[in-house]
Parts: sequence; structure tokens; C-alpha cells
Amino acid sequence: MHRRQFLATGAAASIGGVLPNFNFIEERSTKDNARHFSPILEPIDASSGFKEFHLFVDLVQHEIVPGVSIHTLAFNGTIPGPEIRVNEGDRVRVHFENRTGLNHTIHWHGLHVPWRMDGVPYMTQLPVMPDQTFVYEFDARPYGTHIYHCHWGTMLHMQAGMYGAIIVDPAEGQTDPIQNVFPYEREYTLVYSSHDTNFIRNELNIMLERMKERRFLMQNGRFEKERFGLFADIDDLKSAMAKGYHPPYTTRRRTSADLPDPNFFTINGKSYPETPRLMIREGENIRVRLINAGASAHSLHLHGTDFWVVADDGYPLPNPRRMNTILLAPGKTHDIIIPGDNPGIWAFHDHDTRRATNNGVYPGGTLTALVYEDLPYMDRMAMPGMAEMQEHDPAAQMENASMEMDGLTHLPFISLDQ
Amino acid sequence: MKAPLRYMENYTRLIFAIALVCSVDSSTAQEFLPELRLGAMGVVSGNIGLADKKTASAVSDFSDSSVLLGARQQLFGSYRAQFVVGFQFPDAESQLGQVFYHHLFVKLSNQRNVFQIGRSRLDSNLMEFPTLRDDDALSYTDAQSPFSDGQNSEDTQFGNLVQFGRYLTKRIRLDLHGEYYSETRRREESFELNTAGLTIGYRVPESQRWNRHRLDQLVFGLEGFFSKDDPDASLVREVLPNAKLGVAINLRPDPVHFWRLVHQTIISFGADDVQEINTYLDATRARSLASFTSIEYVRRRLERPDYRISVGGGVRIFTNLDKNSGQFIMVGNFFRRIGAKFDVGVQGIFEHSYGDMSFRLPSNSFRINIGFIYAIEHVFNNQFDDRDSILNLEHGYIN
Repeated sequence: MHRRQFLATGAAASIGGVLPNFNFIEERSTKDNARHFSPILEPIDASSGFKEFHLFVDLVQHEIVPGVSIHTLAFNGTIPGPEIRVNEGDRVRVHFENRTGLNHTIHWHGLHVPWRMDGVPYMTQLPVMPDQTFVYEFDARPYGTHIYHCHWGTMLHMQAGMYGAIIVDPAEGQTDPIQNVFPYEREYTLVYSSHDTNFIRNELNIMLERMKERRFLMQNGRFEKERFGLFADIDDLKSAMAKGYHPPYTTRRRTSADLPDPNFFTINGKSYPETPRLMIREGENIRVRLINAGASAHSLHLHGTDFWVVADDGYPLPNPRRMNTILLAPGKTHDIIIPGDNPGIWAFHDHDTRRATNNGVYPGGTLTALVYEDLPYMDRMAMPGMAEMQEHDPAAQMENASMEMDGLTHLPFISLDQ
Repeated sequence: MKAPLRYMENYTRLIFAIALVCSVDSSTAQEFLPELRLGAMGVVSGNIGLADKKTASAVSDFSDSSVLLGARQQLFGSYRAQFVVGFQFPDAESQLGQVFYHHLFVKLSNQRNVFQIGRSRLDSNLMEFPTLRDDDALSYTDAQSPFSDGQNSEDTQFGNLVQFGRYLTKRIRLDLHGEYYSETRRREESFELNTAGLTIGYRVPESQRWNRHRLDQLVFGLEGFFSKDDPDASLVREVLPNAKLGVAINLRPDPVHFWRLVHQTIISFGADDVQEINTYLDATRARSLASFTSIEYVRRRLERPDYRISVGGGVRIFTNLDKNSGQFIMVGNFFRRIGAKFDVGVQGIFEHSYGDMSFRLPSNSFRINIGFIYAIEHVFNNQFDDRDSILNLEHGYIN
């Protein structure tokens, strides 16, 4: 036995012997894991009869995985934006401040807001232009897991990070209908998205340059509505064309190669190995809110056990369905309950493995794991007992190679090789 | 037995060769396809010339039409590598053949540093002027190469280059460069250097034009031609320095009515012994001042150019000759955009030469070009941003 192996084995043995069920590694992992979930947005004021929130959008640098940073848009500096939690029936007021040089709105996807608050530019409101603040007011309903996202330049702005979760909890004093059936204490929100980082970069550059020109003309009262391709009706459009206006689809063309072709797939803004893990203990249920804020569908499969699908688009299902794979289409939300009935470390991944890649290279993307915090320590060791096996079986040396690698003491590893 | 052995030996070599090729292929299969950039410009014109009451015409002049192909990729560190090859169609009677490879270089660059080696546009000028072709006013816009026989403009514009550039700020760049101007006068080509210089310039990146700065560019350059053994001039080594100053001012940086002025002055310090001009070489070695100024108006409609009108004028004065000598030029043009990056236009040029400069040039000449310009550029497999993008300039640089 080599000295390093001896020390590793000895350390493991002593910790295992003295602290047989103390999960210090998982405590560290759990704390570290917390940063992979969006912060809850605190109300700025609740005395006015409204739950008031402040949301701003800015242009930031965001690291998807170590070594890959992009310029992108972000609500309150995070991707996804902060999680908004309200109770059903709350009166909600959101002050939305635009700190970018681009136009934006917020659409409250799945909420039954007044139509003027729906966030569709030129259909329900004017865009929120640079340095402007728009106030959204609505009653929080219905109950469930929903999304908020920008609805201006949606093809770019959503994949560029302008999305987040808005959770409508039961009204004050009422119990959660899902919790009544599946008692749970912990829940996780996983917001999926897909990103063509090249498309994001190029489009942001074009938009930013164009908006500088437009802002100058607006400030001087010389802005022509044709610059936004904005017309009162078809006759207005035809009239503009007769005067020399060319609709963008007549002078430009995006081939399939030019359309967004995602090269990074994220959960809560991060790709594997930075994806959040689902921590669980034997015997407990955890609720996982699955949100697809991207444009790619995800076929999510859990190893080792089944889960219960308990809500669809926020609505509790009267007859929860037991599954191990669920299709999460763009714009959909599903709530699932995972029972802690099979201790271990289990992969939870998109079964369309093209979405388990970073820049097309596997593994990556939305790969993550269900991790039992209370897994016995020796079960979590990388190769338990391999050192002893090597004493008697030289053939075990190949498998034992991982013991030679510094730092590989517990599962799950981060593995980046195909 | 030797024959089968030889057969086996050759067979083994073949297998080894195949294995090598396959291993190379498989090892590169997962690496990035470089970013590819294709650029092309077609300049076609019909020309009518009148020089000292003699007319000349060209029905189809496609000189200066060019093609550029570039590949670019991220290196393992912060640097990016670029390889560019390009060719253009030179002027008739240029003696450069059907095509001329005007670009062929490798460039390494990161946020601050740029290293470039190969053939490229030389620092014989600092500014670009709104003329139909780059060489329409070459005597006024470029320092004249003493190594050229004067048969073509490419000798002055393109050559072999070694350059190190350093961005002192996002807009100020210092360049140290050594060049080899083609020595067509001596019918020699070499990979050595015959020129060296430095350039420092303030330039507002194109992506920030709607920040609407008045001062767009301010550039200063120093350059020295190192003339070697020269049988024609009976000289053994001399340095012919020149200094250049260029400025571009956005007179009215308006997105609809855009006015811009560009000016450049070149002082060629020349050689003291040149007091009359009898040959092209004398003209390049004589002490002179060349200046060119243009004013252009661009009418933009719904975020694309509609038409452009520009007028420009230049003078070239020789200050150390026995006879008062020089030349001046007036250029005016109008271009209308009739399709994406497709322009049609007309240009008129009047040029007057006097004193010793009339030895090879007509006293008065007038030329009209009616032509089309079609410029295309496309990037395939784009995978990273440019240093001068708005995102990198205004929202933090990303390697």
C-alpha cells in the first residue's frame, strides 16, 4: 500500500469510526448547493395594502460554467431573476426599472392579471424604454408555480436571462393542497433554459448599437414609428411601403443556421457541473418545481425511483401521476414530489442527451443529481475497500486508479471526460 | 526474399502513414472549427478621361475588386489567432499580373496587444477617404515609396509587414512596425525590411459611432524609408523620413444627416540633393508636403444609408526644388444605395500638375467614373466577440 492510499484510507476509517453518521461533507455540499437557487425577493413595502417589489434589469457578465462567461441580461443581477413569492389573493405591485439601453416588458406567465398588466408590447402596453420605470399591479392568482419573463424581443431577451419564478402560495391561513397529500418540508425550484451564446452576443451588440441611434432621435422628437416596425393597421403598413419602407422580412433573412441553436442548457442559469443538486433524506418527500423558461423541450428522467407529478401549469392535479420521466415543454411548469425511498446518488437528467452537453460536448447541460444527505459515509467513499482489494488482487489496480487522484474522496465527482 | 520484405516494409509504411493520418484526424475531430470570415468587394466602372485635350476611355474597369478570406480562433490562453489571405485585381498595365495577393498574414491579438506578420495594407497613409477606389488620390493620401517604379499603386499600398500594436486605452493604440515595400524599381523581392515607423492614434470604434463623438480620429505617424545601394541615384544608404497627421471630425454626427470631415497631411522630409524632378524616383525623394481633405454627407433613411455626396481636394507641394512644382486634385462623387451593400455612383476627378511634375503627368486631366460597388461580408461559425464590440467596450471585456 502506498503512503497516500494509507493516509486516505486511514483518515476515512477514523472519521467513519468516530463519526459514523456525521455528514460533514454533505453539510458543506448543502451550503454550497444553496447558492444555485435564486434568492427570494423581499417585498420593499407591505404597508400600502400591496406587496411591493422592486425589480430591475441590467446588462451583466454571467458565468455559465467555469471558463464560459457571457454578456447577458439579468433581473436584479441574477439568472434566473429572484424568486417572487406571494400568497393567493395578495395585491402585488412591482416597480420594474430598466437600467439597460434596450426596451423591455414583463409578462406574468400563468397569472390572471388585468390585461393592461400582461406585458405584451404594443398589445397591452408600451415598452419600458431605457431608464424608465413601469409599475405592474395585479392580484396574485391562481395558486401555483408560474413564470415571469420579458416579452420584448422574446427570442433574445428570454434566453439572455430575463426570466424567473413567481410562486403563488395558498392564501394566508390556508394549507397547501399538495402538502396536504404529500407532506414535505423542503422544496426546490429548478428553472430550465437553453442559450445560443453566439446568437445572444451578436444580437445584443446589434440591438445596443441600434438603440443608441434611436434614443437620440427620440430625445429630439424625430423618431419615426417605422424604426420599430410599428403601424396602426395593414393599410398603414402598405402606405409606408409605398413610400419606401421595406419590411424586415423582405430585406433580411435568417436561415436555419442563423436561428438560435442552443449550445448551453442550464438549470437556474448554470450548466453541469455547476447545476444545483436536489438534496434529500431517506423517508422525506421533497417538492420540486420544474419550470421551462427556455425554447427547448426537456425530457427529464430520474434514476432509482419514481416521482409523483402533482401540478401542471401550477394547478394541482386531482389524480397525481407516478412517473420517472416527464416532458417539460417550453413555457410549462410541473411540480413533482420525489419520495426519499431509495438511498443513493441518482442522476436526474434530460434524456435527450443533446441537452446534457456544453458546447455540444457531453457531459454538461442540465445534468444533475438527487443526493441523499444521510447516505452512510462509507457508501459515499469513492472506492470503498479498494485499497484492501489491491493487496490481494493486482487486477484491481485499474479500478483503483481513482484512489491515486488527489481530492477524489467522496461521490459524486465532477466528471468532464466523455 | 528481399522482394517480399520490401513489400512488407512498404506495406508497413503505408499502414503507419494511414494510422498517422487517422490519428491526426481523430484527435482534431472534437476541436473547434475556426470562425470563417468571407469578404468581397466588386468595383466596376466605366471611365472617361480627358488629359491635355486627349481623350481616353475604359469600358470595363474592375481594378481594386478584391476577395478576402479569414480564419480566426481562440487560443488556449487569452490570445486569438487569425489568418487572412486575399487577392485583388490590379490596374491594367500594372505589371502585377491577373491578380495580386494583397493580404496574407497571421495575427495574434488579445485585449491589449496585437502582433501581425505577413502582407497587408501598409502605413503609407493613416486615413481612409471617400473615393471610389482607394488609389484615386494616391499621390496626396499616401507617402510615396522610393522603392517603386511607379507602375502601380499596389507598391505603395501593400507590402510585407511586421507589426506590434498596443492598446494604451480602449481608443488609443500605439503601433511599431517594420515593412518591406516592394522594390519593383530594382526588380527584387525580399522578406527583409526596408521601412520602419511608429503610429499612435485615437480612434472611436465603429460600434460607438452613435455615442456621437465629434472627434472621431486623431492619428500621428512617423516612418522612414531605408534606401539601400541605389545605382540610379548613385547613393549608398539613405533614410527618407516622413511624418503624417490625420484627423476625422464628425461635423454633424446625426443618424439621418451625417456630416464628416477627414484630413491628412504628409510631410516627406526627402533628400537635400533632389532639387529637380526628372524621374519618378526623384518625386519620391524630393522634399514635399501632401495634404488631402474631404467632406462627406451621408443621408440615412431608417437606419441604412440612402445616398452619399462627398467632395475632396488635395495638394502636393515640393518645397526644395529649383522650380515651383506641385499638383492639386479635386474629387467629387455621388453614390446611391440601391440594395443591401450595393451602390451605384458617379465620380469626377480634376487634377493639375505644374513645374517639374509635368514631366510625367499632363498639366490638366479630368476623369469621370460611373460605376457599381458591391461589398459583401459574412462570418461563419462565429464563436467570440470582437474587442471593439459595444458589449466588450461598455460592459466589461470577456476573453
